[in-house]
Amino acid sequence: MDAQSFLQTVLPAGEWSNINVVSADGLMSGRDWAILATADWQRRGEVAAFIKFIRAAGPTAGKDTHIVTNAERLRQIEARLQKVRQSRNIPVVPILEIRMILDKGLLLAMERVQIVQTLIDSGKAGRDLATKLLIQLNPDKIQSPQIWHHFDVCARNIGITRDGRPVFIDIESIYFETDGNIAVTVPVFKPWRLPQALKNEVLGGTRAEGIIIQMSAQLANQKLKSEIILAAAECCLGAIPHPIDPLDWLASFSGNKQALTFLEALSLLSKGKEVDLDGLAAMIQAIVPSADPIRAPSHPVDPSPPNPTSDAAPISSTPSPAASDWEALHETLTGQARALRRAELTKDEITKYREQLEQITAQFPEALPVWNELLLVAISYELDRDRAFLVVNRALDIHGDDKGLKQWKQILSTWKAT
Amino acid sequence: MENDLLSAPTESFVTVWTKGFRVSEDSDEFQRVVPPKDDFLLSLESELQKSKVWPSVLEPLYGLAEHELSTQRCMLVRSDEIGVFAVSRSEDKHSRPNLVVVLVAARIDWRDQDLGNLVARLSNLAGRLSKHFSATFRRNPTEVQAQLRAANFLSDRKYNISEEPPSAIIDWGAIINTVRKWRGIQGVSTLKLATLGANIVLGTRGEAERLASRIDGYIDMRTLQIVPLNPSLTPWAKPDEIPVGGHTSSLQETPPSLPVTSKSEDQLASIEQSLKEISGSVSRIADVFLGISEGLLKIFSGGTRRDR
Repeated sequence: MDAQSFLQTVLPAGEWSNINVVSADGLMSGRDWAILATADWQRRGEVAAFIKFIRAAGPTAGKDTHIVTNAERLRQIEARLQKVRQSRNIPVVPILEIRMILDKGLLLAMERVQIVQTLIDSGKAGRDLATKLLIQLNPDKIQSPQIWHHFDVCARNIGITRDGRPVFIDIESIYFETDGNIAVTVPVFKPWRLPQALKNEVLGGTRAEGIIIQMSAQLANQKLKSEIILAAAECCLGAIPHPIDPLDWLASFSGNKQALTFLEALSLLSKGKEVDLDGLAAMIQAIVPSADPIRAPSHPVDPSPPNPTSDAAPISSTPSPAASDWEALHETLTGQARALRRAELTKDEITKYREQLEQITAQFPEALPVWNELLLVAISYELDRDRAFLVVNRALDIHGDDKGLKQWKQILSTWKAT
Repeated sequence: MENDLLSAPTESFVTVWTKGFRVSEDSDEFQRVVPPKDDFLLSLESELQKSKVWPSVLEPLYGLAEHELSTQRCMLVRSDEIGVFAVSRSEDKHSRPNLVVVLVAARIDWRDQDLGNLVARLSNLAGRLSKHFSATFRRNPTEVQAQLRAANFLSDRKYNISEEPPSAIIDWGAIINTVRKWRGIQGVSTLKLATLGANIVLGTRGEAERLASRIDGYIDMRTLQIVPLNPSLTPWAKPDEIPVGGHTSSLQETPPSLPVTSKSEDQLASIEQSLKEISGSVSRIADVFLGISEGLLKIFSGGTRRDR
């Protein structure tokens, strides 16, 4: 049964209409774990909705599928998300339904919102949206009985509701503090979006078994603020290209006061200092009278595949006229890299993309960014621990001093094999 | 839970009827499809289950234009329940015209000051759902049949009515206000749905009188007041004890059910009403005779003058 027919069978026909499957693949994985769809919800008028239906692992499911989507885990996710829904102050996308449907899986339905990344890419973001993000998503101002953390804040995971409010989407990335820590299963956040120092601190926090990162509530707050600041900066300056450290990117806008202001704030955060997001918003508002987004200086690398940055990696590798063969080859895969991150690749296409990356590393073992990209695919999209281990060990054979690779190996070592 | 019919004031219950699906009956005939079983029905729903009204209700509706059908509403009232019906057009699996009837009912307290607003929301929800279900039921899809039989067509037939905007098609607030003043009201309806059990129609005297055997009164659309057509309707004898706006001077005669007067007062009120009607009739007859006399006088006076 195809995804469309499946949804039409499990969703109550009296409440859902105009169901259209967007992607049968998961957002962060090439597996068929989740069905994404748009639909109209009829229980409360005709509400434009976005559906994520996570299918429960069947009796013949593979090992990894069972880890991620067994019934017990889905019930835990349901319980956590119900808690998110009840925490009315956390700025999340309006949730329409969260419930297990018999033994079929977990239905997550939320209002359809306008994605900030889309606004940035189309040049429609700008200063006003930036300040709105800083003010209305400021975690210091959000009253919640329990400390919470959204583990994957980026422009792609922030939406604007019909009444103009910025809200977090990807609600499964929201976790609550227990015993002073935030514990997150499956580290699917984007480490390259953090300043190096902060990223090292977050990645170095693995203390538990399984794919879990433990962070103190304070570190989680720093990380969240950092990601909000970067999203706001992108609204003003355009999407950050890869593989650039955010601080280096902001520094490249020489003479731009907005970039400088964002840079100062992000630098302070990465050093563990407090930053007032409301104050930052006021400063940004005061700098430039126009609300139009300022176009970033054209970066030569625009935007090449992201990778976990490391000290040894070149900061803003510019394919100069004498660019190496591997960089030129790597650039040809830029479109696929973008599609991967937009969850537009099928499982077969991800495999093909991975094979192309492997060909590059076989020919050019010095291509560290490509090794990092291979690692990303194995960890976050194929969720294949064994392959990830293989990649990191081979990469370390050549780039033995790379701190980023060493950290990933440490994380993978604690990824419990079942 | 479904069996908790002592629902909170903001809860309403949805019931749906159509044909072409085998749900509550073992045939494709017009029948209740939500809920599939007879358990846990409100008393309004149970009454309809036992009645044989459907053929007489449905037959005149098939010929209505879409706009006229979509504006038909019937409100039935009981001592502690109110329900509003709406109807939409659909098509069965043989491409024949089909109708979808939706009832949205709620438990109420007649002392509620905001009852008119509640009814307006029930009306809006009934209209919206009937329109949506008519599209969903079109050609009787098999997956819909399966969901109806398994009670999965709706995740819950209880709707939070406070989330529904009030309908502005009919001034339900004014209608409830006038209903409060009269004893004997079963329901108020637009003309084509009156056979569902309403005894007051929204329309003219002429329209109401054409439905005479079933109708006891009509609502004058200019004044939005009930005009009785027969002694079945009587105003409450002591207006100051009517719980308008939730206030009453006599707690003994206060709802949850409509206020009750003594039998002798009933009889007096009825006699008084009858005398008024006779008086009115006599006046009208006298007027007619006067008119005829004047007319004859003019004829004879005018003829004499001509002969001169």
